[in-house]
Amino acid sequence: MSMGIMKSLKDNFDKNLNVDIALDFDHFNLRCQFRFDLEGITGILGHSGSGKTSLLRVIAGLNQDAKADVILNGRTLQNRNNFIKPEQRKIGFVFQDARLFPHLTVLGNLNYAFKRCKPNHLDLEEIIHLTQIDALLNRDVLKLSAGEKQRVAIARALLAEPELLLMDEPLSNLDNRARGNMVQLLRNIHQRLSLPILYVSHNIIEIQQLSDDVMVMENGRIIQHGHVHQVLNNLHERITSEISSPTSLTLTVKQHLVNFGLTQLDFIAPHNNQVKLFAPLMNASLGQALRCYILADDLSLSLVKPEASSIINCFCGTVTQLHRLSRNGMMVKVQVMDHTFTINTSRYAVELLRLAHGTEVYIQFQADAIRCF
Amino acid sequence: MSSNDAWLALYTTLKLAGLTTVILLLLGTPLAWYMSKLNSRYKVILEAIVALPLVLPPTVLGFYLLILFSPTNGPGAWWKSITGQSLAFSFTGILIGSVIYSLPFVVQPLQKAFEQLGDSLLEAGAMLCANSIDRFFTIVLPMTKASFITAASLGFAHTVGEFGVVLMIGGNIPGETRVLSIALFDQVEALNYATAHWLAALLLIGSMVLLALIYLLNFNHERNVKDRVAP
Repeated sequence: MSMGIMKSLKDNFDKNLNVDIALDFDHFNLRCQFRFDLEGITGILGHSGSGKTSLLRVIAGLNQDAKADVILNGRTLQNRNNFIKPEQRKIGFVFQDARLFPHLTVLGNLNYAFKRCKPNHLDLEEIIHLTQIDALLNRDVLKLSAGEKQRVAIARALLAEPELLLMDEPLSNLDNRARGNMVQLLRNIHQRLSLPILYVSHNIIEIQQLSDDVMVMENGRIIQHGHVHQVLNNLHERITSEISSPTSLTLTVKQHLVNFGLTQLDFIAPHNNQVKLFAPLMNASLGQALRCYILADDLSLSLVKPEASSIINCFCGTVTQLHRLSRNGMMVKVQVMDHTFTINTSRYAVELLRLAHGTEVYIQFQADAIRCF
Repeated sequence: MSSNDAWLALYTTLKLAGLTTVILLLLGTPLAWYMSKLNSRYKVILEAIVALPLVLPPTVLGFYLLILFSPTNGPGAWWKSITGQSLAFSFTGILIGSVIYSLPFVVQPLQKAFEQLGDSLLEAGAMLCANSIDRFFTIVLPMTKASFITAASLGFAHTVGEFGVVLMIGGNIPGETRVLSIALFDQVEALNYATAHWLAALLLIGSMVLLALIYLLNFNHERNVKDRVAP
């Protein structure tokens, strides 16, 4: 078999999305060109009005005016001459406003998708269970809470058995607690169905907790694209001017100190076994990898190693970047082994400690600064 | 006028109104849909044409239709050549006249309902593999049911109340073009007030009942919409 055929066969079997869009609006132009493998959850982060929703709508086929090439898993959905209708694209869409059919019950909404989906590999019962809507089936959709509506909308989208699921700010109408539950639920769904997801949000924590890869959009263009930790720990200035970026880490569970209500965590690849990280007691098994974040305001810096301190997490790193956030606020990046930490502090403190590029500092923070949904 | 003639006029009226309503629903729905999605400055011209029968004296419409239907002119001659019958002074003639005359009463409520419904649920349907015809019957129709009933009732009632157009193009042929309103006019001309009272009361009560039903339905529907908009 020649290399050419091998390559085209490989392309057919690879799951990927190829997009090239030129779309002009009154106020801004959307220009996107990317190709990436569809596996896991890809987060799209950006301010409102940066073109995230427009991008999803073009991929879904809901914007017929767009000049675009869209190729999903080797199938051309749209190019100069062809336009596959949205109902034939095998793409699911969870809208910000759920968009449940008000003339149908919850079960009616689910069946709407289930009946129209040809292969029917999924089990209706299982999806209902997975999205935790067992108790809602006969309810009027107008009497559901925001979180319940989104769970039904997600179940409905899954039942259409798409090859790719697009989610447009699905959690933006939820309170913080419901948002945490939903993130957990989305992780479970993704794990169970291994369905690739494009997840749009302006909430950096949601993106951090869910995504494997992150694309950052600004003014209709993709300005960053890469692994979640790499992108979020080095966010572009144009984004951090409005969104305070947390430190993004994957940590593994080393041991539980149940008596103290603490869990000891490790960096994934510990170069230095001296580093001990303590977090509040977590419901996770030993060795499990946890996606954690630390808010920049929860970290502080010291030039000397604080001995006998009540702050239990402390380790040494090197200042790599200093950036002025506001009149009196500074953002400091500190490299600890191959992890970048983002710390917010005051300009006064930076001058007092004479922080500069290359300064050795100690990062310290309380156990409950390590967060995860 | 015998009571037989009155029943015949009632029958003609109901047949005319019923057929007009059916034709208007079949033609008016796609037209209303097209107008609700139209995003062009020429939309107002189309809307003005559809609304014209609301303001135009029925006799003006009737006059132009009479000229068009005349066997000596284009459309009328064409109709005569294929059916062998004149379009003027025939049931088909007044049916066409009624369809045009009652058009806005069917198209306007439907257009408004489609515009109010918007695209969001239809987009949701498309993302669940429903094609456009499927979406119309499973989303649009159930969501705008009340407007369809309103449109049909208004179209029906307005056709029952029609007078000028029928008089101009239909004349007064029993069993063919003599509808209740014309029969009433006849009786009054003949100073036959007893029968006239009877016919007038029939039209009055019938129209009242129909309108009351429409408003009751609208009232319930609007309460529903309010519930749905602000749960």
